[in-house]
Amino acid sequence: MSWPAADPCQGLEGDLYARVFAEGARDDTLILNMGPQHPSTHGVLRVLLEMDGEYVLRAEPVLGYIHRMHEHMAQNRAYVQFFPNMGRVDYLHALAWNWAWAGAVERLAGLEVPRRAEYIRVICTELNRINSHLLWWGAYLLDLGAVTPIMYAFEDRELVMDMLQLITGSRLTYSSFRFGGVLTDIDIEFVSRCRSFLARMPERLEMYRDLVTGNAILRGRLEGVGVIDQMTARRYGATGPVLRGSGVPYDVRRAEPYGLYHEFDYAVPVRHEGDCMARYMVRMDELEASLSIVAQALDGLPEGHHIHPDAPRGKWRPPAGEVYFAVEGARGKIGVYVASDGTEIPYRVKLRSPSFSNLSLFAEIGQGTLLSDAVAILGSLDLVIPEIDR
Amino acid sequence: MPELTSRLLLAMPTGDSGRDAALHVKPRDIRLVAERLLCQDWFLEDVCGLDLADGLAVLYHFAHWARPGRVVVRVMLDHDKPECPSIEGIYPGASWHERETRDFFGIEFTGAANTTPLLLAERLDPPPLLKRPERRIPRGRLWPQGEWVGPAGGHSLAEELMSICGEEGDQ
Repeated sequence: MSWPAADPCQGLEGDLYARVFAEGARDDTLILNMGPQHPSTHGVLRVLLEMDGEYVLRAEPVLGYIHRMHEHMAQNRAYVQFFPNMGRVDYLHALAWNWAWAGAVERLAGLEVPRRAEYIRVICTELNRINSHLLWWGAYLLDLGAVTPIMYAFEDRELVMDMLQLITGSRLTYSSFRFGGVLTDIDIEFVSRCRSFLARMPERLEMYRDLVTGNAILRGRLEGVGVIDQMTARRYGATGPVLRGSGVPYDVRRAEPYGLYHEFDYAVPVRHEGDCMARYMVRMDELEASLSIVAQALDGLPEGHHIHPDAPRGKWRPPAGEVYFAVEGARGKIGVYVASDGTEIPYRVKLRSPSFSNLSLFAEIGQGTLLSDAVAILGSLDLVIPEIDR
Repeated sequence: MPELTSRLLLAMPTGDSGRDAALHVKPRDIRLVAERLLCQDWFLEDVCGLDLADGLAVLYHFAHWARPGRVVVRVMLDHDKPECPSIEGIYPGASWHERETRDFFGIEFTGAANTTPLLLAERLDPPPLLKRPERRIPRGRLWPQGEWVGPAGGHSLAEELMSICGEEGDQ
């Protein structure tokens, strides 16, 4: 299409996706593009909708706008050089992806991780999860029309980011894990900041509950909306709060224990209603669970190395073979498959992202809802688009 | 069942490899196997393409809801005509994974309702994750012979899955 277009309507027939989607449309309906630039899609996600008035008859997400081919990048660099990519797959829970990559390669090569390093991993990954849930909380309420809560959420987020900056050197796209441990040890300052954060949060969560959770408008928007039954969640491979909001107590930290999570005492939050409110409540409960895990880890923090003294540095060659390693991210099950041919660069890396499977549900549960409810449902899935597109 | 030992990897504990059973099936059996796994509370984690000298492999990773464990179902396809039945009728969540695998490896999943590219804007030729022929490694390198021989008897799921698959061919 030339610019400026000679014919002002030129190009309006849509692209391939819109044309394929429109083939099945009724005559009296409207095809609507939500995104790829839309505040409620939290990134570059496009959803094609067939609308009958205010009702969604069909919905189809269109992906790939920020696809960066991380899997191909992995096959072009040394194992340790892939860590920075991990911080960018899911920028909200970067440390879980760090852990997934470190864990997969450690499993492949049979590397040991010192106890202190495992504890540091738990502490910063859980802090990062709190940060992710806080951002989701603020942004979700923003989607629903409440502008104030995100300011409160960011106030708390800043504290966590300051803490994580001390030990990772970055504020968002962390890449601080290494094979056999973590990049830096934690010090007195980190611990004292962490403790004051833990002391502050119960009061803040109480305030969040008073301010938002009990609000009649919020409940009206979320209760009974976007119900995902167990069987649907199962067949789509949904994980994380989306699955636990449908009554399945599946948490990788418990189901397939890794690190030292078996040493911590916490309950996996579950709700049975399957609606947006259930997913909201699961995440609010998880904030408390994560705070409890961090507190236990600080209390029990062992002395020792933060990285194994014999851990490989720089380029190295793990043995040939294949492994799969999964961790629980803020959005669900993160899986990394690595096939190694015994050279310095991986032969094949596959990244399983939770948002990818969680979003694939949307075409089914979005049907028949109001457009405003579709926004509430999309938000309740807690999507991170870079993770879906990878 | 003598063929069991030649097709199964069951010996390795999960901690070493992240999986506790790997099963090699023919493309025509994949739907039967998937159906049985769904009935037994396994869910699909992902579908992963893998380019090997022997052909294009498709790995289906399944995890269980209630207990630890991962089952890998492997399918080998020809480089010349990579075709595999789609399992989206059984696991609707497989649809996106299959479309992604089609984008990256050019594998056709027959019976899939939607075949528009998922992550790529258009089909690339050659598909981006295919290796140059000289860089492909034989599958024996990744799955050494020793790994394939395991105590197949005693793993009831594996035996059940094997029994619903067709007759053993050239695998």
